[in-house]
Amino acid sequence: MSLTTDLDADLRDSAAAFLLAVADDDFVWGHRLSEWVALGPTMEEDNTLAAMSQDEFGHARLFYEYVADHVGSDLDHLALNRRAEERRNTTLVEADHADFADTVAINYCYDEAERLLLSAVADGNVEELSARAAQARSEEPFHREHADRWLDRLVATDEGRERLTRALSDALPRAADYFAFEDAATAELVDTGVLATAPADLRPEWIEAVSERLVEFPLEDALDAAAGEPALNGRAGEHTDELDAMLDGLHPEGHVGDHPIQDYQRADAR
Amino acid sequence: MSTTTPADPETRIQSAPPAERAVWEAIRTVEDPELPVSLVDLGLIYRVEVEDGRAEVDLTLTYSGCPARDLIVGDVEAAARSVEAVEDVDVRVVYSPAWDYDRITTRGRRDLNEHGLAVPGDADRPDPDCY
Repeated sequence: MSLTTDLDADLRDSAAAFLLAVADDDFVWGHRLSEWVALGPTMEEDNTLAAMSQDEFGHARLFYEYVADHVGSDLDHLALNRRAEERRNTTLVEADHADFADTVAINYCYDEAERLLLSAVADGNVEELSARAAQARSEEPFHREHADRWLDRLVATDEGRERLTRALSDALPRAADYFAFEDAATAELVDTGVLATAPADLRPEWIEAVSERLVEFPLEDALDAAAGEPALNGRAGEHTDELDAMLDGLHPEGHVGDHPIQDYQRADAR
Repeated sequence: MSTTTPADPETRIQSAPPAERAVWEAIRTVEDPELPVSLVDLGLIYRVEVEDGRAEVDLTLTYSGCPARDLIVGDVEAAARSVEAVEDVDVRVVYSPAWDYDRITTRGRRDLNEHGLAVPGDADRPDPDCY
């Protein structure tokens, strides 16, 4: 099935809106990871975080570009020129953080969730879309392995355990919006087979996986919050000031929506 | 096109109409910016079609975050445009079917080996020459 020829306009808009959220997740998390480059705890980690950031930007590009092609927009406009209220990323990934334990906590929570969501797209029936999701999914296992190893490594010391517990207590409640897509829109996508599973139906699986992996930490309240109503729902355009600040940083004069990409393109054409 | 055991594009190239064959040969001169191996031999070129002076090329990337994408697309466009019968070029980056190591041709494997790289799972050439 093809998004352009086989879906009606409403459905196409729903699909594009959903994919924008997936792309926004990757873009924002890629950006946050990039902030660690050269500041990581080890030289090896600098390298790894840079590679992971590159992967996330690659995945953002995969989905932004698809959306851009189908709604008549442009990759750079979608990635760079949209204000916070237009973004649909989970608030989990936008957190401004300076403790490496936060990176590990966010990465773990995010990758476990993303694995499920990408599968819902990869197993859907829009071929070019499922191929892209499958491509992104195939490049993610090393991110999960990375998070997994650091979860074990950080608990080796009391300080590490303490900081990781604090980081997970912050990250988990923020992940409550990850699967909180508007039900009516995703129901349509599931009915037509664009998505193999509704995001809301993936949530219990995520909660179970995360609860099981993190059983050694005192996180009862945080896990309850992760399973509850989100305080802010990024999928509905609700964000923290941290995202505004991040987006302002992309633009030399703080003018989100005014990235000079057109000027670069004109220079290329000369 | 088989998605499990992709055939060496050589047969397709040899049996293609002259203009298409010329485009394949032109693209064969384009190497991956990060490896001294032709894009054709890496198995990244999925489709070449030439009709009424317009060349369409479908290509893929070894991974989605490939930082050399714009370079690759630009080089392929320029190569296709260098063919006399071609006036217009449309290069598309596609992700279906997924690329994998099986798509690397015999020549590509040899070139990678000469560069000191082995293709994972390649039992015939487990050790690159200058390992």
